[in-house]
Amino acid sequence: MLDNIDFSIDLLLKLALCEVLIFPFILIVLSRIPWIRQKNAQQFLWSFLVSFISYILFIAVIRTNYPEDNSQLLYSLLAYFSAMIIYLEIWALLSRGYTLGLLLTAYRSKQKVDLNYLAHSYRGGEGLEWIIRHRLSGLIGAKLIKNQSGDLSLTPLGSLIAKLYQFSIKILGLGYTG
Amino acid sequence: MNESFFLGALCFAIYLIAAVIQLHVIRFITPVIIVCLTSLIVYSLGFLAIFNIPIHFFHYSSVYWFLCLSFLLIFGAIYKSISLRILLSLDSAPHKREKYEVILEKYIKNQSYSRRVEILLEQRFASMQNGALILTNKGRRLAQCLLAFQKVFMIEVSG
Repeated sequence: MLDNIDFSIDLLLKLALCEVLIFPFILIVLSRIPWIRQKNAQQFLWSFLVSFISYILFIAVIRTNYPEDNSQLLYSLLAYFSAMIIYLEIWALLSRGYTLGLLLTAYRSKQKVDLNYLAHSYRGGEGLEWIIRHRLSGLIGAKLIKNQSGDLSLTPLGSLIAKLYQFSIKILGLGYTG
Repeated sequence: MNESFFLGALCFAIYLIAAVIQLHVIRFITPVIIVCLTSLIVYSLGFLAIFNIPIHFFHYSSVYWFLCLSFLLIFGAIYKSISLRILLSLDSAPHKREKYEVILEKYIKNQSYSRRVEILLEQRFASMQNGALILTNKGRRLAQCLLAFQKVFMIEVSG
C-alpha cells in the first residue's frame, strides 16, 4: 500500500516547515517587547506578521532562482496556515482559556477554595465580571452590540451573527454552548 | 491540481458529513472528542482508499488538515465562545435587549461558570470537599505546566 505514497518534500514545503518550527521562537522574542507586553492578541498578531512576511520573502527568492509550479506554492501555503491555526488555538487556550483560568486561580490560592471565592479571585482578583467586561468591550468595538447606559442591545449586524450562530448550533446538533 | 488535492478535499467532505451525523446521534461522548477523533479516523482511512492511485503524503495532508483545522477553529468558536453566547442571549431576550447585570448573573455567574467547574471535576483536575474546590495532583501538574508555558511566552494575564 505504501508503494503508492510519495513522501518527498519539495523546497517550498521545506520552507513552510522551517517557518513553522521557527514561529515559537519569534513569539518568545516578540512577546518580550515592552509595548506589546500584556497584550496577548497583539503578541500573536505581530509574531504571525513577522513570520508570514519572512516566509513570503523567502518564497519570492526561491521562485526567482528555481521557478516551480503553482501547486507546490499552494501546498506550502496550506501547510503553513494549518500549523498557524494550531498555534493560534494553543495561544488562545493559554491566554484566553476560561476553564484553564479557573484552574490557575485555584492553583495560585494554594488551598481549598469555595466557589464564591474562586469566582471573585479569578484573574488576579478581577473576578468573573472581568470576562463579561472584556467580551462586551470586544463586541461593542466590533459594532455587534450597543450599550445604552447599562442596557445592552444588538445592532443589525449583531442580530444577523446571532441568527447565523443559532443556525450553526442547530446544524451541528450542539445541545449546550458557551 | 492532482489526485492528492482531490483526495484531501474528498476526505474532508466525508469528515464533515460523518462529524455532523455523529454530533446529532451520539450523546454519551463530548462533541470535542467526536470532531477530533473523527478527523484522525477519516485522515487514516484516506490512505486505505487510494488503491493504485499515486498520492503525495504531504500534499494530501496539507489539503486535508488545512480544511479540517479551519472547520475545527469555527467549531471551537461556536461551541465555547462566550462572546457569541452573549449575542445569542441578547437575541433571545424580550425586545432583544438585556441589562448588563442580568447577563452577568444569568449567564456568566450561573450557567457558564458552573459548567466550567463541572468540567474541572469531570476531568478529575479538581474535587469537591465540604463545598470547597481542591485541585488533584493531575490538576496541579496541568497548572504547573500552563504556568511554565505562560512564563516562556510572557503571557502575564490570561482568562
